[in-house]
Amino acid sequence: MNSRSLLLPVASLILAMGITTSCSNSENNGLEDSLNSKKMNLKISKEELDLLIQSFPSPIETSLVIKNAGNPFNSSILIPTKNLERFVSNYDKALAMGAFGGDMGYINIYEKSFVAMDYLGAIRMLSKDLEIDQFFDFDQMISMAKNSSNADSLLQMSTESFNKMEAHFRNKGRNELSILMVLGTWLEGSYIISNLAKGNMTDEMKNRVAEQKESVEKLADLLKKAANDPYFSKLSNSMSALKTKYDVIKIEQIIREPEMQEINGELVFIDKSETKILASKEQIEAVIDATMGLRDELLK
Amino acid sequence: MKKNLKLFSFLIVMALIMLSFKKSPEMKGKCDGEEEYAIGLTKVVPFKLIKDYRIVLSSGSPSDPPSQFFMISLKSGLKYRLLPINNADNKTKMIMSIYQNEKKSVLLATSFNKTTGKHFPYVDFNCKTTGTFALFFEFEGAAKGCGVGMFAVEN
Repeated sequence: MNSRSLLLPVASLILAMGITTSCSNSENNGLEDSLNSKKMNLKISKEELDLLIQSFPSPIETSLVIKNAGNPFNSSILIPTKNLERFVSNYDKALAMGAFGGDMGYINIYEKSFVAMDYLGAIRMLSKDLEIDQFFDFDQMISMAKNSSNADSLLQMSTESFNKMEAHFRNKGRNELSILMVLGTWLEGSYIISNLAKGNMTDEMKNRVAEQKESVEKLADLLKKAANDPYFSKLSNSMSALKTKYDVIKIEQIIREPEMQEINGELVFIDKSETKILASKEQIEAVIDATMGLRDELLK
Repeated sequence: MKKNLKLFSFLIVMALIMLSFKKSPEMKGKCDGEEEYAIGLTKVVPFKLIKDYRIVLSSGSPSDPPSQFFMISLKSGLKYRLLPINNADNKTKMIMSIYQNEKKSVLLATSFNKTTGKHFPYVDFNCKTTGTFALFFEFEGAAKGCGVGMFAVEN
């Protein structure tokens, strides 16, 4: 065979492989290139950050405790999906992305698929701006939202997508975006709990507000470690102010060995631990107001 | 002609080098957790999946078995499910356990009963206290293995 005749196909093959490799790299690095912002010098190791971020409650858990406390669904307390242009910087967008994720958890747990459509639209726009839309199959999710019998699948797909997206930020060293997403998700969940508790201060809701203390402490500490950035410095101050309000609330955790029961071949552990919360109505009202004020300042 | 042959050889070598960097399906395959994850999704229902953990551990000493842990949030009043899904090639089964902390102070739930040596396909935990706890993964007998751990909550 003429060697010249082989040159073209082989060269094409190499060129194609080069393009494939380069495309795959650009997909991985697209975030850094396009967002074009410097990586933050965070005073915490990757391992510590990974453990810390994973320790925050998921929107599913937050929404379940709200639903199990007997609160009816209330779409009017969620973040408005219009005027997304109010989230200007990538930091604002990552924060909002987390918050919309929190709202999606709430909507999905109550199986209000028709409300999910607007939120999917907002998440789609923000994820495109942040170049992380590859983690979502929006067409399929919208199609699921159109049919309320698909609520479980929509919840699972949303959870999966948000987990992958947040892990992607950390794997790419974009810890600041990951922290903002976690902050946004927590703040929105905490706002919903606060809002509902304000209108109906049962013991259950009062305790759910008080329980936020651990997350507030972790977030205040985390934001302090990133406070060399002006954006995070401001957030750190706001979270420290909220933490001060929580400092007067006392929570005592008593951990005990659980009881193990094997019923019909299934293993169930009954927790014997308990939590004692010492907080006055006024102290709870103070943290509710501070939480709602912070959320409205950052996300409304 | 000679020049073309040199160029041709160079291109072939380059192609082979680039191909060697691409993972073969076998290399990529067995322990990436995708198959286990798909199985887990069918088994986790009616609980809601919170997070899946892809675990790969090498073998070690039974006195100090290799393990991996993650911090998790638990909320009082919720019922959680731990669902270990094993890779078909595992010699022993994966164990999922919740401890009070990373120092394993108090065992709160586990998929393996050490006394009877029995593994359970899943284990439920009725949580009574809100807080941060440690979710541990290991393989029985400190064997190597891989799998996916599903952490889910009852609706």
